[in-house]
Order: sequence, then C-alpha cells, then structure tokens
Amino acid sequence: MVIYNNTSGDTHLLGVDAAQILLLFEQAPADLGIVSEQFATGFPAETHEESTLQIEQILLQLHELALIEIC
Amino acid sequence: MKVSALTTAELELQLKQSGIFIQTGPFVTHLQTRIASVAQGVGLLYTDFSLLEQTDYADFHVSLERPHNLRRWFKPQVLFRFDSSPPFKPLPLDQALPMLEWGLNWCVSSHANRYLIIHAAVVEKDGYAAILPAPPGSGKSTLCAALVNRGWRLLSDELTLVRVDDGKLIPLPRPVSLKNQSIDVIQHYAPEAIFSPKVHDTIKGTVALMRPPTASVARALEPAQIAWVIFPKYQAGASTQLQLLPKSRTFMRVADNAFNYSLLGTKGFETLSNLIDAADCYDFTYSVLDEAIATFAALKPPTFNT
Repeated sequence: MVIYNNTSGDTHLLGVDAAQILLLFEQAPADLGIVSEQFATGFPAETHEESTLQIEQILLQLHELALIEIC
Repeated sequence: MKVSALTTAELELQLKQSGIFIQTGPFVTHLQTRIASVAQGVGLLYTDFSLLEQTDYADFHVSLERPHNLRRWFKPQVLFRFDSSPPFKPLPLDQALPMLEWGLNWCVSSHANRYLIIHAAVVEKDGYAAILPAPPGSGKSTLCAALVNRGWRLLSDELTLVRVDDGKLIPLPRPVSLKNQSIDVIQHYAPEAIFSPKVHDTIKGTVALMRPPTASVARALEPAQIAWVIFPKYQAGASTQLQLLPKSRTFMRVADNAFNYSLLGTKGFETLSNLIDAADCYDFTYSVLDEAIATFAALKPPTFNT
C-alpha cells in the first residue's frame, strides 16, 4: 500500500502487515497488547513472543516514519 | 499560420527580428535567434506547428545567441536564455538545435506546475494512452519513435503532462530526440521519417531530432485517457516480455520519475493515485522493434475503462 503523510509531505510504500497495523491505528489508539492480539496469528513466527517482537519492530518503523506516535 | 507557410529566408528574418510565437501543446513559446542552423532546424522539424500573430503573451520567452566572448572567434558557442537569463552554461555552437530542445524541456519541467510532469514518453491509439517512464538508455525514445511511425499518436517523447484538475494526459508533441545507435535504428525502421543532421559529441553522445508526425501535431490540443503504464527496457538479444506490475510499486517508480511530485504535495499524490488506479502496469523487455509493436497492438484496455 502507498500512503501519503500530509504532515511531512513524504510518500511511503508499506508492506501488507505494516499497512494493516496502520489502518488499525486510524480507527483508534492502541497499545502493543491490542495490536499483538489482533495480528499475531497472521505472522509467520513460531512463538507468540517472536510475533510480538516483529510487531514491535513494525511499530518502531512506523514511528520513525512519523506515521504513528508512540507515547 | 503554420511554420511551413514561411520560406527559410522569411523564418530566419522573423527569428532575427521580433521572433516567432509558436504553439507547442498548451504552451506558447516566444523564440528569437540569429543562428541560421536553428532557423533551419525549426523550419525542418516544426513545419506543422502553428505560429501565432505577434502578441504580448507567451508562456516562455527564450532565445539562442552566440555569447560575446573571445571564444566566438576560435571555438564559437551558443547560449540559451530564458526571460533574458541563461539557466545553463553555453555549449558548442553546433549543438544549438539540441540545446533548444533541452531548453524547452527545462522551461516546461521547471514552470508548468498545473500538471504533474513525469519523465516519460506517452503515446495513444484508439483512445487509450500508454505512459513509458524510464531512465536514459532504456530505449524509451527508440520505442516511442517506432510506435509513432506505426500508427500511434505522439503526445510526447520526454514529458508526460498529467493535468491536476482532471487527470487527463495533455499532449506536448515536439521533435523526438534520438541518441547514438537509436538514430540509425529508427532511420532504417522508418525511412520516410524526417531527421535533423546528427550532432556529435554532446553530453548525451550523438543526437538527432525526428520531426513529429503531422497527425500528432494536428491533434496537439486533444487530451488522452491513461490506459497503461509500461516501463520499457531494451536488452540486446532478449525475448519480448510483458510482465504485470503491482500498482503500489508502479506508483513509487513513477513518483521517482516525476519532476514536481513533491512540489505538488497532496495534489501530486492524488493525481498520481488516480492515474495509477486507472492503468494496467507492466515491465516490458524487448530487443526486436517489430515484436514490441505487436505487443503494444495486442494490449487490452483496462476493464474499468471500457
């Protein structure tokens, strides 16, 4: 998915996982637990901890791109 | 009145004196020059273009002139001026005609921000247009020249103009710039095409300009509808291959090839999104022009356009 950040003026090409997570935040703020619960089963990780780690990395990348704000 | 209505002597005189006001697509250019080779080139390549009566208004006021420096005696040069200022360093005098084309491209790509401007050729047939974005050396202009000599309408070989207001493709047919081996390839492929003399040792190698088809110039005010975005790549010996591309990746590649995408901000994003949404997108590899033409002839319009 391609998204445009009208605050920074940057355009980003996101993978499916990152795009779905971003769409979740578009509906309402969420914490890591909520995001993990929603998406963990869709990740090709062997354990729940691994999938949570992958989600955490995606959240950090979205934060670095100024697409979400981590409080 | 068309350029062809003037004799070479009349054209030279008018260019020397008040200049000509020539219509190229949606733009009016006021051109002045005392350089005979430019006058001859304009007479040869712009023969079907309309000249406007003397008017106060032009989108671009440009001139080509010989700088008054010592070099004029032993290594003459040419200087392109836009609104009296030179945006580029001078070039050798024999490059005056290519410099006019490069300068006119610069005028459009630097100023015409009511369009999303993509570095891409664009051609149309039966109401459906194909945009061909590609970096230099990919065979974009060669393929474009071949297509327009086989019934496709030339909108541009270099600058795709997407009107921000409605997403229509706005024609800007001008001479097609060919480089190095491509010149001989197209001269052989389309012996009836008219070319300027070759200019050697330019920054792009040897360059020649092909006169745009008369029918394309006649339809220069008729917008076109996007149907395909095709990234061409000439590869010696390669088989002809058309490979479907995801729209998301196409978007990013086209944005990379746009001159003013970032400048247009949200409007640039919306314009490009609508453009890509309405198109089927492909990577295209070719080595044989006839096969490339056949592939283009077999393209099916996107289903949502029919």
